Amino acid sequence: MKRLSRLDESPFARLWWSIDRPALGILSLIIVIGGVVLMAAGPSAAARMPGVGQFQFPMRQLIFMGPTLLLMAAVAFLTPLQARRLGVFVFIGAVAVMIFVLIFGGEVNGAKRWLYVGGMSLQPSEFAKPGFVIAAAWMMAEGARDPKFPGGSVAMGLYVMFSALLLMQPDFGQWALVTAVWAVMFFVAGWSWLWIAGLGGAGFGALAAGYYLSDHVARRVDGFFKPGATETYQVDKAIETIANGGLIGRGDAPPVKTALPDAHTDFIFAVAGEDFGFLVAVFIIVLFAVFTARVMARAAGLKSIFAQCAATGLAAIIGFQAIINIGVSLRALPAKGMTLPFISYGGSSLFATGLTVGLIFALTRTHQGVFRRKDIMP
Amino acid sequence: MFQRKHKRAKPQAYVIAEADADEEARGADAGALKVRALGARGRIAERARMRVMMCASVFVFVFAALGVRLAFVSFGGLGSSQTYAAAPRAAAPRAEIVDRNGALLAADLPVIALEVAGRDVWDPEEAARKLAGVLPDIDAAELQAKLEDGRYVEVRADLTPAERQAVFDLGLPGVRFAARVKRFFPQGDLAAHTVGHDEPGKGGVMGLEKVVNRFRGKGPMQASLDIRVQQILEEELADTMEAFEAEAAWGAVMDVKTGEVVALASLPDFDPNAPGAYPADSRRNRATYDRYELGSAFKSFTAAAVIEDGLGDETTTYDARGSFKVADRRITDFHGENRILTLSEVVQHSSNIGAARMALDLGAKEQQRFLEALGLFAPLPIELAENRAPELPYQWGPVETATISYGHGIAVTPLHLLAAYCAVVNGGVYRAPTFLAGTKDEEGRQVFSPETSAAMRRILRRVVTDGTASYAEAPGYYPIGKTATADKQSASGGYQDNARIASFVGAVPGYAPRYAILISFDNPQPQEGTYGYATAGWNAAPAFSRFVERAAPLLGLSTVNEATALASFVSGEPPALQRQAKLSRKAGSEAGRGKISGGNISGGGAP
Repeated sequence: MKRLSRLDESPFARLWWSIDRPALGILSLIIVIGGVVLMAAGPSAAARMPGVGQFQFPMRQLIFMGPTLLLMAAVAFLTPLQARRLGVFVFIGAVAVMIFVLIFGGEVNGAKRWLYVGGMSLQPSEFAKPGFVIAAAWMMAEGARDPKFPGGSVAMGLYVMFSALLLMQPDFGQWALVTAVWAVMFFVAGWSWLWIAGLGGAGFGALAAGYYLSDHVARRVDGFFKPGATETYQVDKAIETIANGGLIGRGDAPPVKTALPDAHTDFIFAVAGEDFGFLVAVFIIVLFAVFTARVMARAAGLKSIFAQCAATGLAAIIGFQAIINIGVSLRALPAKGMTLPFISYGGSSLFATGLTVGLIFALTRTHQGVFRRKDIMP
Repeated sequence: MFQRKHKRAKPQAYVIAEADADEEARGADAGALKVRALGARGRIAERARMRVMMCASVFVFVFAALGVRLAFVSFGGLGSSQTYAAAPRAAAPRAEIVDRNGALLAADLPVIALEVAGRDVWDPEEAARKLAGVLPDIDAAELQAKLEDGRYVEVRADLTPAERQAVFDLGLPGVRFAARVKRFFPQGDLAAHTVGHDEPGKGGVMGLEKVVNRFRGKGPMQASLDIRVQQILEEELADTMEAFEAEAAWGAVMDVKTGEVVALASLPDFDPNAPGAYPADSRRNRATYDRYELGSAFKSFTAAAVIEDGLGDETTTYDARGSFKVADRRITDFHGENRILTLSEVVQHSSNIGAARMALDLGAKEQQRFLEALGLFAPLPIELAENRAPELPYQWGPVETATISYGHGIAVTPLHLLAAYCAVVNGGVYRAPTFLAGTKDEEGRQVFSPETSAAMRRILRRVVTDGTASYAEAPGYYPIGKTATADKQSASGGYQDNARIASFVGAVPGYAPRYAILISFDNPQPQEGTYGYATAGWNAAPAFSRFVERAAPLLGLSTVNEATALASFVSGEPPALQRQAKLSRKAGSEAGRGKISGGNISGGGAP
């Protein structure tokens, strides 16, 4: 392959030299490790489901990966201005679909969150998340830039609307994630500590209300604080699975992963711990930590409040998802269904994560004299 | 946005924005410029930069905490380990338990459990209804409710292969079959107290089951039990218990040469395959755990001690007329011979007065020395956890010496009594009982001389031929033994009116004992045909006799003629023809059986 020159003016070369290459390297490692771990988790998860082929999950994931990488690259090409437009459109579209599903969609496991298109299930809220971050960051930045523009209030309004849609599905996990991401952006956009304290209190109040008003949330929280009081089978099994792996994997020991529900999605981290051991599992944690920190460090150096806010928010989506997924597997957090980005099986979440990361790369690219400022900087 | 539509923003912002673009190139001067030029927008950008870095730090910190947590989980240092630490222990294969002939008493049995994951079930109503259709014992409504909650339900712990196939054929999503191991007791309630039982997740909680976890031998753990003898013992105990309306019954058979317990029963009993279905009272091993005042059986120990110490022989006389006053206690006889008795007759007719006089001749010190040597002062060192220390009197004065001589004022477990009794009849050697086979000819403790033991065998034979236990006779085996009818202790400490424990402790063959046998009934009632009696001679002794007649062939005992038995009783040596008898039994000959009448030993009995 021809080495790319910094003087090369082709679009691909331009992308390569302007993109955040360390972050891209870390991301590639995550994707490769994810493929390997899914190869280990897929067959044992498939064995628990009737009519699913042994390697169906990793194979399908591989097929989804192609379009995902294309989507990522295409989005990464965008200038920040174009990225902002795309994000806002995605948010509007996803919210419209969420409302549609809420009204017309079928119920699965007591929740209305899936849209079925040609035999594939799509979860619109997954796509709404990055869109929401872009839209809210825009509004917050406008508010910070122009004291007369009610950006903060609009951003707050977007959050309330999105929250309402998520809670009506109901999907408390996504809601908690969106709230946490929104809080990070709110913080970055420079709102006073008084506001932050007030909203923190409100968030805590909402959690308490959820505990007392929803049996579902109460059971999950009880299961976390009082193991044994409620059904904690999955998390118990996840802990057992990880413990079986030891330092360098279970080797010839009989696997526990076969008894682990959702081994290919919510509890895939436990399979990594069992089959590849503590060292690989801790490496996965390090990769997500470095990716999140790297993107945020790059975001800190960006020139506009919008880009800072949006890139931080998008990195927070990836970081929080990883923290929640891993934390649940380690019984450090209450049980909550959350995929591990690029590692858990699932086309819908894979596409959405690809969009998120594509937007991150688009916002954190360096633009040294290539564009006129007004074209790139919103 | 810096170029467009922000006429409202302060002009400094443009300066900062442009300055930042080439910040690195300009170096330290730029910093000075920046500080000077910072306006509202510059301050906002700077604050945002700081806050983003704060967020990044928090994320790194949280990820680091997850890494620490992962280390705890990976290396098993997590506190809440009971959920998964218990599982492998229960799953570890445990040794089988077999009886002395290899019959299976307890074994691991692979079973298949049926589990349903609520969150994988598409239609809880359909799943519950179909499962209940195949497995009629499950509650469809309850299962449906659990599945609707998305819970993980274990529907059945063990499926038969046919049930498994039927459930499989339903094709329901979310259904799982889990391989489990169940402890199975093929003998059911036979020897249940000795074999014990286990509890899910805990392993063995009682009997040999409790110690089999520590058993590290190759192959199965071989118990000393003979399940055939056990069956006969339980049947005879149950029959008599029912006929005499007794509250409970227990019995044991011990090899006098090795201390091996060949059978041990406690009724009412339970099925270790379903221990929870029985009251705790049924699961208690009365033969090794309960303490009773076992009464006149102790007269054998008193008489043996007197002979051993040279204070008397079979013909020494004791005044058993009227009553005998020791301190403030007046001792009377139940059977009331009301005359002067020889030592032998004291035992034969179970005279309390005679026994008390013997014990006072002996003295408290010597009495205690003998009882301690007979293992009656300490818990038995048996393999079962169900064992207890004897209950001894608080003070040991003349009254206690007198009452203990006939078995009141000291409470021991039935197995204590049987083990001590072995030493009286087997040549004087005490061996602690054991429930494991293969401890043959273990070193014992010489308590009595062989001569004392031979004398006691003659005395105890007369108990059957000319004493209280004529119903204990088993022709050809010349059983020896002693009845014991003790007043039953009440919970408050005194004795219950008209409630008793009737026992017979004996050995066969009497002239050269191989097995000692204890049979007891808790509070038997007088029946028609027993002339209003409920003493041991009327219930425990006949049960003993029937047991001996049925079990002796299985125990390898054969009948001998009267002359042989008599010669052996008199000489104290085992008959030389025991080997010959074995041969004749093999040949199917029943030589000598017809001639046996009673095996009376005359002499020594006359006053």
